[in-house]
Amino acid sequence: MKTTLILACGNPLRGDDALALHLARSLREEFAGPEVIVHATQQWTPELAEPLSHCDLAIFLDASTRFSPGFIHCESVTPYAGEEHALLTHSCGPGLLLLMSAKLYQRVPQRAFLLTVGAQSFAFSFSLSTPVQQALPEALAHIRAILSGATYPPTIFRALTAS
Amino acid sequence: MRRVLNLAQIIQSHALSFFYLSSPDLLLGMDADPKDRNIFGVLRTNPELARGGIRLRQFGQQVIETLAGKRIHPRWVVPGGVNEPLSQKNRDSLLSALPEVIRIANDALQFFKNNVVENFREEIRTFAAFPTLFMGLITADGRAGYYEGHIRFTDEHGQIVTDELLPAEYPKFLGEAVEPFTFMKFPYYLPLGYPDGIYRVGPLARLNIVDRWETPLAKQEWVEFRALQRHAVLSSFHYHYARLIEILYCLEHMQEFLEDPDILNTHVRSTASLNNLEGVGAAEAPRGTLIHHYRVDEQGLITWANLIVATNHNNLAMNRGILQAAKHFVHSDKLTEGMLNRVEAVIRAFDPCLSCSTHADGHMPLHIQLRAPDGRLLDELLRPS
Repeated sequence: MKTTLILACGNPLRGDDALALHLARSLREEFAGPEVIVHATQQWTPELAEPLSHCDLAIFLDASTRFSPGFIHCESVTPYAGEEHALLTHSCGPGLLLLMSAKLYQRVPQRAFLLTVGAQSFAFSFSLSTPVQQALPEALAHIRAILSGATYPPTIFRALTAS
Repeated sequence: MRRVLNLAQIIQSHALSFFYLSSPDLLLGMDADPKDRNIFGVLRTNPELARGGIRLRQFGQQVIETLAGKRIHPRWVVPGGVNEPLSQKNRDSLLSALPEVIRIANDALQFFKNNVVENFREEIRTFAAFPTLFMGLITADGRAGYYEGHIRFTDEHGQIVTDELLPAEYPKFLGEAVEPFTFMKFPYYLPLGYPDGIYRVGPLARLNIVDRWETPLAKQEWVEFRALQRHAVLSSFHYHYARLIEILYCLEHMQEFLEDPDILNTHVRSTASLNNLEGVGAAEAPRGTLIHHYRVDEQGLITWANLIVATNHNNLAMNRGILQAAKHFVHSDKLTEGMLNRVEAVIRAFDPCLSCSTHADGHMPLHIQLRAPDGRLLDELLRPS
């Protein structure tokens, strides 16, 4: 059985930072079952390397400050190839987690993607900004496409709002 | 169930401190190249230890998530109890994982005793190894009171200085000094004054102040640990050792709680409302005694607060420990990476909230100056943020 691990990262108290948690909630409802495991956390930590080593497809979901609000970016990710001492202990990114998975457990998912959505505000709030709210259905559509076998190169492929 | 949550937090926090932050120093050596001195270096040298550390932290977090819904700032713990009972399925799942993690914790402890202690004699003698008082929460029958109890102070001879202190009366026995060079306060044992009232809290202190230990494996290890020195164990290097014993204890104690049928009791919350405008709470957090003191208004909104956290309690000892390590390891007029790392490693042994900033990927802004007795600058190391 092929398994997918979806790793969402965000803080529910910090406005748009929670967008990945909203995506995770929708995905849990849609894909309840052992083949798709959805994991929502406030940080990505090294312990996630272990479940990553068991899955065939990994999808990382996060908010981004690199892009304009609502802008969706998806890229394929591979194990980090830089200096190993750049590893953080409280949190680490997808590349480092994949590297840990490879080195600790000798296995990485066959495919791994990072999907991010540009955030507008990380101020204290339980709600998402309008551009981010509007972007979520489109983001979910891309996740479904990945689950169906779609592959994305490490390039920006869709802009929902102009900066 | 709140006790189980507290034990899980100690397990995952100690695993982070020992395996992620400190084991690279202990396995690869204080003088190793910082590029190798990380979890990947540990993996190359001892893959079992690296994987075991990750598994222990994962287990601690799994327990927290199973009980409380999420790992960080869970809303499960509420006044009067908890929000939700533990299901039999979840209880069984946690219980089934315990034999594996107890074995991992025990293996790591044996590894430390057999391979680390002998190789770090110099650090053991010089890493904040001096007489101080030790403070912690203790139960009425002399066990470590992680979740409740009274406060006990013991001295370097292992003798009780004062006992059965009520946490709510902390201003009667703790002073809080301030210094112009830092925002961190310096608590001290009031009867001895400042700074003579220096004391330590946390794993080392807990193992030093108790009269007995209770779970089978941890009890045996505690007896052996206490035999390290004739009286109290004084070297802060042994915070690492104490931390590993505590991981073992917490796992064994958690097993006892989970095997108790009452853990599945569905009566998990008493109704509580505002009944006092001022309160003090104390518990043993992974790093040491945590004191929270609050005043609230008639609506229950906080109007005043004072916190003394473990890192504060240990502040005097950490500062004095840096001085001790620097005096011992800095010999020439040139600073080396190994010297610098030992200064940081003293701090890491205490596992303060500053641990990550003294280790995480070498990005801590650090400025160390080496000055001659006449004040001349001999050397300096600047590590930009």
